[in-house]
Amino acid sequence: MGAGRYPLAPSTILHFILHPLHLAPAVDATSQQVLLELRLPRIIAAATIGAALAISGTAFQAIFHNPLVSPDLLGVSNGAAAGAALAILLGYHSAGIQVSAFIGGLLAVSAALTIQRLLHTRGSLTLVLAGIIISGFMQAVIGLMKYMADPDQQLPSITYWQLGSLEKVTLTNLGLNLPTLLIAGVVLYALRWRLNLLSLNQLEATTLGANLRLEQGIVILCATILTASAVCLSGTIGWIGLVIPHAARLVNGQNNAKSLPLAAIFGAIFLLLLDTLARTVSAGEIPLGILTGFIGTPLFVWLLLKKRVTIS
Amino acid sequence: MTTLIAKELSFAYQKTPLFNQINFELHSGQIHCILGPNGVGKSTLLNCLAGVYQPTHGAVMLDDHPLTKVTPAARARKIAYVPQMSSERTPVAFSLRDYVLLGRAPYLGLLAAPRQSDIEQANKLLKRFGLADRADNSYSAVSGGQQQLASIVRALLQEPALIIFDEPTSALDVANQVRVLQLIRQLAHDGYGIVLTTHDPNQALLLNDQVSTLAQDGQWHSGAAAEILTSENLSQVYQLPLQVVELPESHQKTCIVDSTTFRNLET
Repeated sequence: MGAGRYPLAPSTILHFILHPLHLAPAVDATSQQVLLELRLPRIIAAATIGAALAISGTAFQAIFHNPLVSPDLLGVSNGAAAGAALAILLGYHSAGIQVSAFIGGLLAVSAALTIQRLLHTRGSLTLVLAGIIISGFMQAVIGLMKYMADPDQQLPSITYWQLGSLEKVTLTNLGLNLPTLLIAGVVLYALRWRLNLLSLNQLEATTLGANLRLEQGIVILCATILTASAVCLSGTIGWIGLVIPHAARLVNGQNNAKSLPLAAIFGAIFLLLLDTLARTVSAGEIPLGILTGFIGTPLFVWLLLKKRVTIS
Repeated sequence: MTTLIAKELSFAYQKTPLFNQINFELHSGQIHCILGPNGVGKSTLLNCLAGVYQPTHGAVMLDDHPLTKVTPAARARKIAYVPQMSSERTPVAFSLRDYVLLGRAPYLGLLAAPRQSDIEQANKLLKRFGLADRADNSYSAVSGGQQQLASIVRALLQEPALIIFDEPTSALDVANQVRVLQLIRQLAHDGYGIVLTTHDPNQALLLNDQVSTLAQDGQWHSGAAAEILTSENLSQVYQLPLQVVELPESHQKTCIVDSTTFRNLET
């Protein structure tokens, strides 16, 4: 809380926390404002988004029985960003952007699943391929919108969405997205054991009593809401949805009942650390999407290597 | 007493008919063995009997209710399915305990996880099948025989009346094959109704209960083992001269390819 362009001493923060309990003197007005309106929402947002992306990734990887899928690879992130860009272009504000991002994300994942179905294969590679196709298409859509956008107002907003940052998080838009994030997150948390069942193939899951279409639908819906809401707050932040679930499984095993909560915790800590880095390393802000890419990729390679070692 | 009856069952895959007008019956305590060459649609038939595939024509009735009208969870409390090894099983790395606990799913709500009583039930069965010391090992790290036992434990945890086995012995060595067959016979003795597919007529002879054969041309014969497992019928089903002979002392029947025939076979 103290770190940032306006550094605050640990004692100030302690006072800020203890003052409402009448245990410490009040902090000065500027510090109060920085903490309440900038730092606090940002910290809550970082932890929530990190957890949301990690839960979403765990859920997608389970139901598509594929450790390679993630909200980014399935096109959900780019779809949501394209939806957000369209809403910005049309002059909508917070709630409009949120709904549009969600529809964009849902369209993207449906399109990826349709492509996989059209190819008549249920293999994991086809789904990854379909996701890459849709991601590419959505990027083209975003490109088109950037081309059409007004360069003073809309273009920077759209670019911000693409790079990912927590700079613009305020108490207002946090309050707008927090309920959906919480509801979708709690539903997926409650379904965490069921994800084990859904991670089996159609024959096994069905004969063990799963209503596949309904249950997969609920999971896709919730995981998409999580990703889209996260994108609404911070833009697209890659790699967390792919890497963190692997890290959690490495520690807690394949059982989603145990690995999903851990993934949420890992995701929250990971993004909190990265965001702190993003706003302290240089005078300006480093967009988060860039940082997660630089740190996420080598981490993923390391996790894959580690996994191979434990298998053999 | 639970009964599974299929009436005039037909299935076509992209307009290519696999089988036509099949009649099938299974009662608690029975073993029904389905024989036939590769690719005739045995697994598809099992999928229809389990309610996973919709037959093109005909209906499957579970205790006089159409299977399509039964919810997946209610169905899974009556019928368990042990899929063919490797090809039809998801490669999972769950611990054996977590793997078998999936069998409790039909009794758990959408948002529930296994309760302590479920875990105790699982531990008890794992112990009975000699898997207790493997319970924390990964499913993918244990032997094929142990994987097969684990999937049978999973099926039993569904507390079903009927169990469907798709080629339960195909990936196992002879000793494990015999163990699984013995186990199947024991399960039938305990009251489970069992249907299994196999490539080996000798297994059907050993189990010696109900047998059906499905030939390449879609011909379906069903009846008691002695009636169906004849040299003539088996030769026709497999399009190969086969002989069912009786061993001199034990009077056990066995199906063989005569060595003279074998040498003279056109390839």
